[in-house]
Amino acid sequence: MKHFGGGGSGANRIGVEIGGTFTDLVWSGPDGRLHTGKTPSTPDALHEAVLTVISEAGMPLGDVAGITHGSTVATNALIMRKGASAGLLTTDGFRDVVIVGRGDRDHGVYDMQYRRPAPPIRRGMIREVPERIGPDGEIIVPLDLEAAWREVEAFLSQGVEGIAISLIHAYRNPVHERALADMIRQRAPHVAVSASHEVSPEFREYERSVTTVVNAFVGPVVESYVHLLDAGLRDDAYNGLLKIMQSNGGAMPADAAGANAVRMLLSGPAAGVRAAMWFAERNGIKDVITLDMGGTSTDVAIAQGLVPSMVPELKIDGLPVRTASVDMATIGAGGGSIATIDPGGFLAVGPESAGAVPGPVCYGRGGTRPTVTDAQVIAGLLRPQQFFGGRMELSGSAAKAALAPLDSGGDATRAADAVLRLVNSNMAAAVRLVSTGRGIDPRDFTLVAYGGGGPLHAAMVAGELGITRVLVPWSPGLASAFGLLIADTLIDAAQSDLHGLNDTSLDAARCNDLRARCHELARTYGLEEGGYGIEIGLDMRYVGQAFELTVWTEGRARAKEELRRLFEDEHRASYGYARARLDVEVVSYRIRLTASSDARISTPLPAGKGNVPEEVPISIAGADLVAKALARNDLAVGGKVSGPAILSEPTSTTVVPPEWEAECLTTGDLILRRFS
Amino acid sequence: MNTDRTLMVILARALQAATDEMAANLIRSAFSAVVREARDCSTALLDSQGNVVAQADMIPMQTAALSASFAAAAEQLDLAGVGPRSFVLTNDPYSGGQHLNDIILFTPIFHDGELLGWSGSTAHHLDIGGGSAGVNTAAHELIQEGIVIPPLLLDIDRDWHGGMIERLIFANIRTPEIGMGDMDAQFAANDVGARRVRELAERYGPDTLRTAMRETLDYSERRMRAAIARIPDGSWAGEAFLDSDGREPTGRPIRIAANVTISGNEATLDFTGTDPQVRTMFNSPLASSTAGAVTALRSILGDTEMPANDGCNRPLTMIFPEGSVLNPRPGAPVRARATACCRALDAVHDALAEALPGRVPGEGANSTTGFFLAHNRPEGGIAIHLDVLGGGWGAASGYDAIHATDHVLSSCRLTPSEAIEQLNPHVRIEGFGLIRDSWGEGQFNGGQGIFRRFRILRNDVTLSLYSDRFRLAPRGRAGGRDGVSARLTVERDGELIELGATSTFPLKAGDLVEIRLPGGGGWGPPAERDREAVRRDLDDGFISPETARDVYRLDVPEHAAPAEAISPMGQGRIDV
Repeated sequence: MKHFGGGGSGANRIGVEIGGTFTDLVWSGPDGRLHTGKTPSTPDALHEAVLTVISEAGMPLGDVAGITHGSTVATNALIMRKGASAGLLTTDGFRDVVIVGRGDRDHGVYDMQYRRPAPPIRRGMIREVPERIGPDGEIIVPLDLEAAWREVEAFLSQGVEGIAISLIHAYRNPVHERALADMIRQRAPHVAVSASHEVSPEFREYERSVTTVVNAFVGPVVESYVHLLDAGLRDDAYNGLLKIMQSNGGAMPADAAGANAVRMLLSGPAAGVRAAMWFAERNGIKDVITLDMGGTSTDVAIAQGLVPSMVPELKIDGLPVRTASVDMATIGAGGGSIATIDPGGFLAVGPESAGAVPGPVCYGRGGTRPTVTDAQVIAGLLRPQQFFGGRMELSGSAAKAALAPLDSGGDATRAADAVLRLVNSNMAAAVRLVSTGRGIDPRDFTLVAYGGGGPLHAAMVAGELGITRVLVPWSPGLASAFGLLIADTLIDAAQSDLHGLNDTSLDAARCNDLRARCHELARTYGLEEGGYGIEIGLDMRYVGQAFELTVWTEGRARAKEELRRLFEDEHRASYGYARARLDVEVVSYRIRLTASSDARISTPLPAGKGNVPEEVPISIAGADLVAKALARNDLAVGGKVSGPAILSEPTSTTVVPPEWEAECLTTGDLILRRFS
Repeated sequence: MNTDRTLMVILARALQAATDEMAANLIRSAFSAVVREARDCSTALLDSQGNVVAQADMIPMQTAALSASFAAAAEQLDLAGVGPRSFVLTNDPYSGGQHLNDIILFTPIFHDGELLGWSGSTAHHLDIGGGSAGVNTAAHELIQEGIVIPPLLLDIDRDWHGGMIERLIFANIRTPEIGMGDMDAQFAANDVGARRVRELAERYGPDTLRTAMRETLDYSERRMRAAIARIPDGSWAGEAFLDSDGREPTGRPIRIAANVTISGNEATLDFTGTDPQVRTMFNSPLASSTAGAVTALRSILGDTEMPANDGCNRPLTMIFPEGSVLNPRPGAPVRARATACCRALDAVHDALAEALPGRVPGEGANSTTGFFLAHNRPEGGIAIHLDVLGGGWGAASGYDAIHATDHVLSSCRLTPSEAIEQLNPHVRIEGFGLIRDSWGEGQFNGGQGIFRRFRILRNDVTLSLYSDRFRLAPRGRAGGRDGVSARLTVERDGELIELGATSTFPLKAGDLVEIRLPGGGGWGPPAERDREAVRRDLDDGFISPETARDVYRLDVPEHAAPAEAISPMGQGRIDV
């Protein structure tokens, strides 16, 4: 087993990210210098674009020490319901848990023809086994292994590739799940087994079962994808480590990806957040809100002290997946989002998107419905000749024709202005969701803007929120690939253990147990001993509540009073109150291992040729202005430009509104400041 | 128009987002399973006159007529002297309230000493006192159902957090700790709404915000009118029935009559002809009936994304005869008010089925089933398990209905079996799932009904229940078959005891209780259902081979092995 965590500075490394349209590559050489690449994605054989972009970069793969990869393969398999053939074994009497769900109706509560996303497995592929564990972990009905085997045989005769096991109260006592898993692994070693006490050992049978089923459904797809990619790389003499990004913002070894497929559902956006942390840190910025605008959506996350807020559950296509993830507010506002007039006469933007094909009207590829990108072109913020480094010209007149009908007077400029204001406002709402919605004042934060569209909107969004600083990192359109390049290795795990808060909740013995579990995990993942840090979290709530708050510690013993105080601080911050008269209970423990990447990387600095800026007409918030337009590369380190100004670069455009000023920092990153 | 249109859109969305945030906060910090897991609660923002300008997508019955309870409060109280620490509390069904368990809290929103509006929240409280823990099925007067709180203008420092009103109210409630915890969550949610409204006033100015509140109402009104205008003009009659008044399980069904008139972009919903009020808890107070009628219309309009507020009600005229089961006189019990409300919805749909063929679905299970297992603990105190279960929905043209989901007027969620067992040592769940062959078969199927089976582990447990559709099953439409009706049984010492839709029954350790809720009605003749779809239903065990053969007319060989199609199941996403 190869160890990693370091990966060796001074070696070649690669970060490669598959997006909906393009596959991006960032490569650092032995001297820490960066190279980039971009190639169209290949949806039918995702790994091919990865191999292509790497070979186009012209780097001898034999010299590469590590590749970290982010991919939508798991998410796509789930959303398209094109996963492996999988079966689910559950407790006698509970066959329909994942079919029935929680009876929730999250949108359109007035709809008499309400539809739910399909369960990840059909009912015919769910079988019951005789056994029952009680809420305190007691065995009520012993597991009948031979009866269970007959159910497994039925699955085998149907040719399943994966079997999920989710038994009632297994988070409390996994003895039956373990026995079943051992039996299948022994008697049918070709089948991938996902057991709920391993994938998601937390109470609530629907959420736990769905998570386990999703793992079984997606795991074999991920496994074979990783295998194809790995084989392709090895064919090209690659001999380094392959890592896969997870939703928590850290990487895991590729050979663990199949068994942990649920962990990689949000890998792309999480990689972007990781990059934002890196760029903020090198500029001495501590408190950050990220704004990542892509083609179909915008993702917003918050990080106080450069620690991104996390959530224990993701909703993918309406399905709850319990896996540690960067807490992201996502809105359907990307460059391709379509603007319409709704039946009440109000303007609406998204969530429907023109996607990459046909794309915005101005692309001239057959799109007819007005999009955000079209509005940006009309407002003069996106310069038709500079788009995509000049490799693709946009049609401003087609954009105008498409947007004009959205304005009651048929004025395309006014319509474009309204679309952009609405988008800015929606983005500001997403920022509020992760900040004021959690009791945090965003005005003390720096907005880090990336993705193709982030730097165009960021200063205007900041203005709505009273934020006065925006950081635009190096090559914002490649932030996710860059985040992969510098990602740490992170392993998260959880274990339910419901009890009243007491002095043994986090005493020395408990800490030792949890540390031992960490070391065991580290061995499984091939982490070097001593090469990682450990954190321990406790999910706590008042007795009677159903939702928990996580309190993180560095993994040393704590008295119950101290834990209670930490919990109440958190409760006050989240809900605005705490109650001394109520008892507190511990629901679950969380552990997190971090092996830092020791990447020493320097991004190239701008040439700073200082060409004379062009003057171009733009419109912002209804005002017609003349802006300075220049290439970002022309603004030297220490150089400043006051708004209104537009700085173009191949992967993005930065807009500096009036009352704002942009400066190129010594790192080469841009800071936008509002003068007040 | 001289107001900035785009800004109005932005502010309307911001108000809506604030109510969503209020709801999320309320659910996450609540204490009772009925609020925190089932989500039987609602949040809204009102303007200073008490019009609901935005509400979270939660429980239509609670919110669609929330302004009625504010109006009653404003009429009965002097709100002129309201200050930042004031609040209004009520649960009075005869002052615009719902049933007594739904406690409504209004808190004022001040900005620079000026009243901008009100935050409102409603939560279903697990216990509200009254004649029995769970539900008092014998009540024939309102006061037997619990403590009545008429609209009260209170002061948080004087009356709450140990103050006299709080102490008085919770002295009348069996689970005071849970109730007070849920009230804390309501206050916290209202506070979030107030903060968001104040922020908007600071950023855009109070006058702009007030204009936006007005615009928001006008906006929803326009959308509602546009949607009504797409229904052809005309007048249609419909009807629906409750099993009985609940006192006599085999008594006469209760009739709800609806006359629906569409004229241009306006609608009249006239319930004249509905049976007189009953001496049991199946009466529906005016606010609930109004919400039921509004929702009946809204739920079949093409525009399902319309933001709900009082503007939606403007194009509607509603007539509920006084003294009827949909508008009882003060003092009549109303605990099971959702049932008559659901039938009002069915009656409106029955009327409109002709006007909108294909759009109006077959009947769903469409009833609130309040199912309680209360345990008098030997060490003192009482543990109440409350389950709000839903059955199958009704099918429509092109729509196979959803299974096991609370009705459209409510939207309660299922409580996890694991959570029920953690909280209630007196029960163990021995089974939970869908009931084969329970849907109404059709070209499009109704949703399946649901069962939950409880083993009783302690003595001194009392079952109480109110429900409906035990006798009269959900009706299919356009040739679709009816769903299968509900059933409640207790198995004791090998003997099966059948209970009715309104029951109180003492249980002992070892009893096995099984509740089965109806499947929804089908749409179109079953023989016309897509053959491949029938085969999948059979393979997945939703239907028996007999049903496949006899009802759907599928050619099923006598000893057919089930086809081994291995792919996900679901509507519109079938790839074999």
